[in-house]
Amino acid sequence: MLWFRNMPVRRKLTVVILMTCAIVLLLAGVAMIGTELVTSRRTMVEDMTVLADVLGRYSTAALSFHRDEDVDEVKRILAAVEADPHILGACIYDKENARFGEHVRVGAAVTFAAQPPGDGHRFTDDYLEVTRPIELNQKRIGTIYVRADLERIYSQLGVHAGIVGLLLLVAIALTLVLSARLQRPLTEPILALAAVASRVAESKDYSARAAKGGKDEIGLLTDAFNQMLSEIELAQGSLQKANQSMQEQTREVVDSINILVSASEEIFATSSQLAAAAAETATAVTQTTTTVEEVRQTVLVSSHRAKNVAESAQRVVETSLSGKKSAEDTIEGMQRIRQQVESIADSMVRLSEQSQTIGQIIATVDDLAAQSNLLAVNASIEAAKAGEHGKGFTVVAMEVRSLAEQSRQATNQVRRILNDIQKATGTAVMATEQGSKTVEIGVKQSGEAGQSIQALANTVVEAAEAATQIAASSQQQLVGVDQVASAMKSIKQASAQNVTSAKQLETAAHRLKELGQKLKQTVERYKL
Amino acid sequence: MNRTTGIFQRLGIGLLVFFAASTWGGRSANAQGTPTKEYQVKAAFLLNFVQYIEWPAASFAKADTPITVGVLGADPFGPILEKTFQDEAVQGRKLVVKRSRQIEDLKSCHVIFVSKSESEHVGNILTSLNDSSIVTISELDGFAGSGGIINFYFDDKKLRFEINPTAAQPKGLKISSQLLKRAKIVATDKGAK
Repeated sequence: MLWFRNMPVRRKLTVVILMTCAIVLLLAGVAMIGTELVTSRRTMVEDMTVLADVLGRYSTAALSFHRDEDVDEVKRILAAVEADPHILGACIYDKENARFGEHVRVGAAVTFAAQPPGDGHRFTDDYLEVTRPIELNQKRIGTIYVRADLERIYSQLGVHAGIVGLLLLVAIALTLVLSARLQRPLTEPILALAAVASRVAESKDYSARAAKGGKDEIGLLTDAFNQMLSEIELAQGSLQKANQSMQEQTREVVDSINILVSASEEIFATSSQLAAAAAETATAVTQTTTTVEEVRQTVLVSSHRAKNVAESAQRVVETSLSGKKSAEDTIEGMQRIRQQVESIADSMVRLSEQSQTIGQIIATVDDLAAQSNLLAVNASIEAAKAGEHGKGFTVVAMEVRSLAEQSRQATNQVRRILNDIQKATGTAVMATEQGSKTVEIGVKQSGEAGQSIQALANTVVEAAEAATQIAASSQQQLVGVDQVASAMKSIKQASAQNVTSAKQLETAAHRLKELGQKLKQTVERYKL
Repeated sequence: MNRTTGIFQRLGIGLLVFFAASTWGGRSANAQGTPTKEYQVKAAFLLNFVQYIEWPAASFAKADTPITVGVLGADPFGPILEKTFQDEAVQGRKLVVKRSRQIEDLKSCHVIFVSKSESEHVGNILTSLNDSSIVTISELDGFAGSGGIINFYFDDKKLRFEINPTAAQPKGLKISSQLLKRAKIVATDKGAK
């Protein structure tokens, strides 16, 4: 197509008009010939079918009677096809599909098949054949076969092709003559515009303008061309301004990039440190995790022990309670001893009082003895004066005097005993008091002991409570430590991720640094 | 279809044998010589006649009223007629056979084949059928001349038939030219009634 592209517009137009005319004419011709071919084929088939049916209708009686003379009649009937010069021959088959009668045009080389082909029509390259049934009373009694050449169709086709060719030649000649004149109003303004354009291109003088011919598309093109030239003029001025501002912007960009490069280097350094720190943190976290695990073991042990202590304390509480009970029993016993001692002391005092009464009685008895003695003496004196009559008195007085003496002796003896008793009583009272005091002290001490045991029991109870609380809190502690341990595990994972992230960050920062340097190198080329 | 084909084949074979006999003029195997073959051919011709004859509309009560073929007198066909008509139809009408020795029994027929045995009564028979639209067929010399419509005869040992169109016309019967073309045309003898 290069030849066409480089062709002048003038000739291009001619070629286009010519091609259009030729294509339209050719298409119309082909359509006409195609339609004609289809129509004439259809007409031919219809004609042949009608002919075959007519011939068949005429032959029904001959086929029915099927005698020798009927064969001759069929041949006579078929000879009618000579009227159409395109029919090559015809043949009638009986209902057993055996050839019954036939006719072949003189000079035509036609041989009929032993059996009729299927009903309908068929076109071959050289001829058309039509096979039709012969019916009588809706009953097939035979078949007719007709063959015709295609000369009629071919000759018609030739005539039509000739007409189309002739029309084509005439159209081309007319187009050549007319296009030279018709294309002028189209080509001239284009050529003028092209001349102005090449002048502007050579001189770079954008102030030149093309002359406008009309208001058609070429007129619009001329307007647009002129407008474009104005735009170019304007654009040249603004281009220079833009160039300057771009230089400034480039400078600013270079500065920014320098800052970016140094910043990215710092980021890289920081991120390297960060990566190292993250690695250290990870190590520390691992160690801490181990420690927490150890702590957990320890807490487990201490929790166990606290439980033991709580149990022991409980037992001590029970023991101290029984101690307290014993102390209270002791105090009670002491109280009873004190009461008994007191009653002993009372008895002793009463004994002492009665022994004193006894002493008074003894003194009275002593007086009585002394007075009896005196009376006895006086009685003896009187008895002596009374001589012989007093002699008996003297003996009685003597006896009373001895009784008084014996009384006095007995009283003395009682007195002595009483003294001893009084002495012993005094000692006993003393001892009783002593004992009473001792019991008092014992009671006091027992009370103190009871209080001490009470205090001890309270303390032990508190201690047991404390131990129970310790056990509970150490259980809680264990839970807490477990939480700490799992938290440490999460921290460990997090710090592992942290390490990975820090490494990625480091890589990214490294790339950023490289990128910044590349950018710097790139921009340095634009430095003006 | 198979049965039809069978009949066609039988019919065809019969015809072929007949044609062979008539063409070569064989003495022993001609239609006249073997009565069964002769009546087979005659039955086939009867069927063809029916196909090329048109009755007046009044002859049929309904569109599918069968065509009745009567045989008057001694029946020479035997079962051949029924075999030939079996599975055949003309204008949508079937063919049935009716036999009798009394012409009165056959007045409702469309075709009457008058047997040789009735040769003595031909005149009476034809007279009694004067006002009907019945196609009379026989194989008696002078039958057509006496006012019968179709008559079989032998010419040089070939089976031929004669038709009396003048007798058919007043009865309202239309005989196709195709059939007439194949027949010997005869007229009613002046002497006949």
